[in-house]
Amino acid sequence: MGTILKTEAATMQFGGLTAVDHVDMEIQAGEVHALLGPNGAGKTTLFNMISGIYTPTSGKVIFQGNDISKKRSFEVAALGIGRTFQNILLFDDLSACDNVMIGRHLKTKQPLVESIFCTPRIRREEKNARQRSLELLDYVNLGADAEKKAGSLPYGKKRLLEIARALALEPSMLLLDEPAAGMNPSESVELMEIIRKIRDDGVTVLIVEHNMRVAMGISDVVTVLNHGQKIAEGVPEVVQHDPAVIEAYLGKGGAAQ
Amino acid sequence: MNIFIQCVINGVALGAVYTIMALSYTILFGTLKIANFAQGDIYMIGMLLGFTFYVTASMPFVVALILAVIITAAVLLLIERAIYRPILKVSSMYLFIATIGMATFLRNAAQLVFGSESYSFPHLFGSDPIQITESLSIIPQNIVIIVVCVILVVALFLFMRKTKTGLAMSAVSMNPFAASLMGVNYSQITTITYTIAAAMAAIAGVFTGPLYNVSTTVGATLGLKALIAAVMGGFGNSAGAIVGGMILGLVEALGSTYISSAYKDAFAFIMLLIILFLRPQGILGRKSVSKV
Amino acid sequence: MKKVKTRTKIIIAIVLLLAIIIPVFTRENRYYMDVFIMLGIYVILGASMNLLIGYSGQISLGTAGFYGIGAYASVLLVMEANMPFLVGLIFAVVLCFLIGYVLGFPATKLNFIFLGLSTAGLNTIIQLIITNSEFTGGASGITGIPSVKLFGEPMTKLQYYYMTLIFVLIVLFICYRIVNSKTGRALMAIKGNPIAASAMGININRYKLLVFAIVSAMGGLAGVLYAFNIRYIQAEAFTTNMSFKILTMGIIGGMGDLGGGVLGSLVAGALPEFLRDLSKYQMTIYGLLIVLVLRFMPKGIVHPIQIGLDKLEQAITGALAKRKAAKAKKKEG
Repeated sequence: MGTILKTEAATMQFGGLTAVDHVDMEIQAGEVHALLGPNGAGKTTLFNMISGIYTPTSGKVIFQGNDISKKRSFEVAALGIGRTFQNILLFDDLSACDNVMIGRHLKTKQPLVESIFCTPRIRREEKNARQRSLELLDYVNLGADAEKKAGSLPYGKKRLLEIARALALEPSMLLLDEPAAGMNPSESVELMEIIRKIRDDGVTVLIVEHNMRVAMGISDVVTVLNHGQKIAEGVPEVVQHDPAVIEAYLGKGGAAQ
Repeated sequence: MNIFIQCVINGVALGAVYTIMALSYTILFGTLKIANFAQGDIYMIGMLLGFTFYVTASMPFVVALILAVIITAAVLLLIERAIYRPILKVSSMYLFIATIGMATFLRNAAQLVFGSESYSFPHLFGSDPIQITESLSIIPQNIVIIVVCVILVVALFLFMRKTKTGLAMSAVSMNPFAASLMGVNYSQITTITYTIAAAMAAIAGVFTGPLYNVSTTVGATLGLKALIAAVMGGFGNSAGAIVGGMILGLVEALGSTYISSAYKDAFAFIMLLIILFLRPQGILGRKSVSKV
Repeated sequence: MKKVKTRTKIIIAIVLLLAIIIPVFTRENRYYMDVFIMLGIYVILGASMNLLIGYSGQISLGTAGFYGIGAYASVLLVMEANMPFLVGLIFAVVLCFLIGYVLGFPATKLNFIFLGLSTAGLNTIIQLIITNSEFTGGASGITGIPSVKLFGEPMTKLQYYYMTLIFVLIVLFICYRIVNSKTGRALMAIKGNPIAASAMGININRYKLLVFAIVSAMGGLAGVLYAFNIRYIQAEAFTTNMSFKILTMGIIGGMGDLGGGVLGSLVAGALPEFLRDLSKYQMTIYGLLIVLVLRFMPKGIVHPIQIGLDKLEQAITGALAKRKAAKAKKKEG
């Protein structure tokens, strides 16, 4: 399948602070790739650099052969990278279905002038968008909540709704920022199944996750960051026993225990 | 050459007025992220009160000044408590619109009270220009306003850097949530910030009374231009307010002499548009990075 | 596409019917006809302002500037170049769209404070140009604007009113279609959360700019309709006070509600007619109105009416259901 996303010496500085420091990372198409590391390791910053919310201070982000380092968030989305947010950014006042329909933005062909005249194509596109959105809600087991306001959903469902909305872009790659945060064990299991399903449908998944059970359970490859630098990479079983990783998580001396 | 120097002198005096007003916007925006569009009309209220106490009631100037400052601050604090604070809870955009509404209300309500005539405010040190050379002169009141501006800038700087309250205000401006965790009383800081903003506007109003005709419409354009000066300098940045205020004063003084006096009021807006195109964060402003 | 509620349909039908019929009875009274035509113009201005603020979260304090550009551009084209009214109208609308687009280009990237300031600035600059230029007739304005002709005859006030009404309906329809399409969803997303909207592939600046330019064009259209009704224009009509009046119209009805936009325009537009003896209080009242509505009714004056109608509807459906049940019982009995 080959590489879908590559960072080359990606660096992000805020004032004097280097949040991400020369990170080289390669993600193979069709994999679930996890990004791990203690708090403040730079995982979310790296996500924001990939998805165009931040422009890297130096280095490159290459997606499907194109340099996307300087692209803005909506351009990155158009190229096929969907994402969710650590602190859940849904449109709370709109229904779950409307949220997903907003995700269909780029796939809905409704030029403004045509919209004003309400041509048959506009009606057809609207119907398609709604139907596809309902399918996606079913896909993440939220079919019954389609007409509920996003803001009224419980935490775990909000996370799933964000995934459905990101999938509405029909992305070739999906970035999930701590999707299991705030979920109970049974919800986490459901989430893991959904992520596997997404991968099996051909979407590459890059995931930031604190919950080690989830991260190790679903990922094919793991990259570990600490203080903005990459300290380990490989299959979960190996990385788990890497002394540098254990030290990063448990501190010096932790490795000895 | 003399004309040019004369323009610069006038420009600095005008810039001093803009600077004081720009600072009064900036302290509100910098600390509380609130743009009070009615600030120019608060200035107008200060001027009218100063005029009432000093001229109509023949009080000593210092007493009139202090009374004007206190009452103006009380008016703004009342507005803040009764109107602004509850609206801010709904949306900051609604609050901005409400301040625009408040500006219109204050200006027109004041007109109902004071009438639409304009009055002249006696100069404190006489209105005869002081001759510097044969063709260069400066009105004493212009010297007064420049001195007042310098005093206010220094006082504000010392207050923000050296007092506990000033530091607390800086903390609130950086992160209100973290500041409240550190024990800063947000409500109290809000009150102090509004008081300073109102006091500065009122002081500017009383001291510029002799330079402009005292009327209810005096604050509208001046307030708008001072806000532009603050935005040009980098909104929320005190040094930016000073730079923006001075540049605007100089551009207006030079522009109305060398380009066109009919378009004097347009210079500020043209400069604003140019700056928004070239450097949207303002001359001294920093680009903000939003955290996700 | 969202289904329009039956209740909304009934209200629209009643309002439209009144708007068509009432002027027939007042067609001989120039004063009333001018008031009705002005109300139509206000609805165009207020509803488009509502679209701008309520749906795209942007502020304009310079709508009167576009209103003025529309008036002067069309009048000059008709009077100086002997163009037909409709050509002047289209030219003015396109011109305002383009100016809105160019001005909005830097401003829409920034927040509402900057947009508010730069639009207020535009208004002031336009005002100064109008007062100080020869081609606009300077401070004394332009008189003797030709009347609009229909089949070679000058339009009567009633005909002019109906023409205005048609433009009002076109503007409202366009607003409605913008809101209820992918564009409207994009706007709601931007207002809800710009970062998430952008991550969904929505080009925020493009949409804000588009709406800003469309609203500018609608302001221009209103200006054309104004100029050719009054047939005399001067700088006084296009001051920032007028912009503020338009802002009031767009807001007090209820932001993000087209019906609210229409209601707000009618209320704020008709107010001075009821308060003619108190005309010196006009701006004070507008200022107070905006402050009080935002403070005590942030959802606008349309909100309590909606609640009232909800109750009425419940009562009616309840009564109908009761009657039905009673009838069914009778039959059984």
